Amino acid sequence: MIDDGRLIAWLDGELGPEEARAVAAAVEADPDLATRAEAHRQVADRLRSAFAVVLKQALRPALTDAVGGGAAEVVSLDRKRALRQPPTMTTRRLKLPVWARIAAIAPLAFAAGYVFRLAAPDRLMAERDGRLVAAGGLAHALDVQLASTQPGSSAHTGAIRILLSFRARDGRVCRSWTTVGQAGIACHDGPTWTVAATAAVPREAGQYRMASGGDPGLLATMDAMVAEGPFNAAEEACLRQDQWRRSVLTTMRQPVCENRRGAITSGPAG
Amino acid sequence: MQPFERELTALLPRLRRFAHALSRSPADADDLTQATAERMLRSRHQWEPGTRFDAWAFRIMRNLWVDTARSKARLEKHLAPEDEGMNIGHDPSEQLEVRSELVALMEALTRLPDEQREVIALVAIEGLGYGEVARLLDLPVGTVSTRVMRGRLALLAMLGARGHDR
Repeated sequence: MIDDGRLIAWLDGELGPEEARAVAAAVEADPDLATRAEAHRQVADRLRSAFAVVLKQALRPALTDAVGGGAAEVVSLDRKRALRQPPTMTTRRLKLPVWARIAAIAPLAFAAGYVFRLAAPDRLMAERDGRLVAAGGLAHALDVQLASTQPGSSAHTGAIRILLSFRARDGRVCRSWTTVGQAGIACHDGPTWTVAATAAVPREAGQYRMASGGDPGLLATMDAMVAEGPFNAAEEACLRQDQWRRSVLTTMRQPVCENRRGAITSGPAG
Repeated sequence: MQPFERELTALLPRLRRFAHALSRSPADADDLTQATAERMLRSRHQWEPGTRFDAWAFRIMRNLWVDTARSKARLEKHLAPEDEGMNIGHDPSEQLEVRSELVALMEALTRLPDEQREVIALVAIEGLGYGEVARLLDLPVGTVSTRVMRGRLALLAMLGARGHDR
């Protein structure tokens, strides 16, 4: 018996994978339940699309003046930049193995699936509820940095560089990153990033040196995790706007800029 | 612009959307957004880099709403609802239709108890997870999920019939 609480938690994408599967099966088997779920979805869609209108409205001048004058301009430039992504990117992206892109960036010494407890004087990671989560500068970089627009390799020492973003098989959005001496993969779990894997990167190898053959460990881990991606610049921007949340078709949440993505994927190449 | 102003600027559209979900009228929502932006600028030293900027902003907005707009809304409860015609002047017709859909849904949200309205705003409109909302409002996750459930059921009761007609 699926009560309203579980049904709504399922629609909100709040159930664990096993429970979600159970509810999905129940909904499929029970027309009444399916009708209820659909009714909730319709209300959710109405809310989301009605309030999405607010995002596109011009800000009143007093507000932009208060913040520094450039608000409207910055927002519209971001949108233009995202729309400018060539439509062929998606097609090409799908054919490019993930490991090929990370292999081009960092040589990684790594044991697959094993998380090293790093001595972290710079507090890039912290333990929370028995999980290793990104902290400090790493958490911030994962939250806000886009792989396409971050400072280049000449950035100051210690900068964190995001390599790529992808969706894992469990639905989470994950991002790989590197900094001096270490690299890793972190996946978005609610407000935090769970560190799924880390690896020591030989310092002398240089952060962004081309790798002749990446370490199979981290690459294999990532390859096994990937369901979709790596995401292109526009998709990353959308995901960031939507706070990197998973977006499963059965949930009421969709990326806030799904239209933008639609515009990209429905290009002539599609 | 400083990094702080840049982050704030990028967040303004979402802050305005959250304000619309909390407020009784678009004008109130803009006032709330303005007050929040000004409070954030004054309190910028309280933000810890590396923590979620948007969560900090939502929390400030929500607290301002509790302090001011919410009590104002109580006072005005028996007055006539906001005049939807106020935006007719310059909007093209399609825009107008969408606009009144927004106003209709804002009206529906104002009929929810405040504690349901704020979680619905954060979950259904801003897309936060229950855990994030719990942290933001200093509530147990169970309380958040109960309020989300009640809020969604109430909204379905208010809006569902029309949805089926389409």
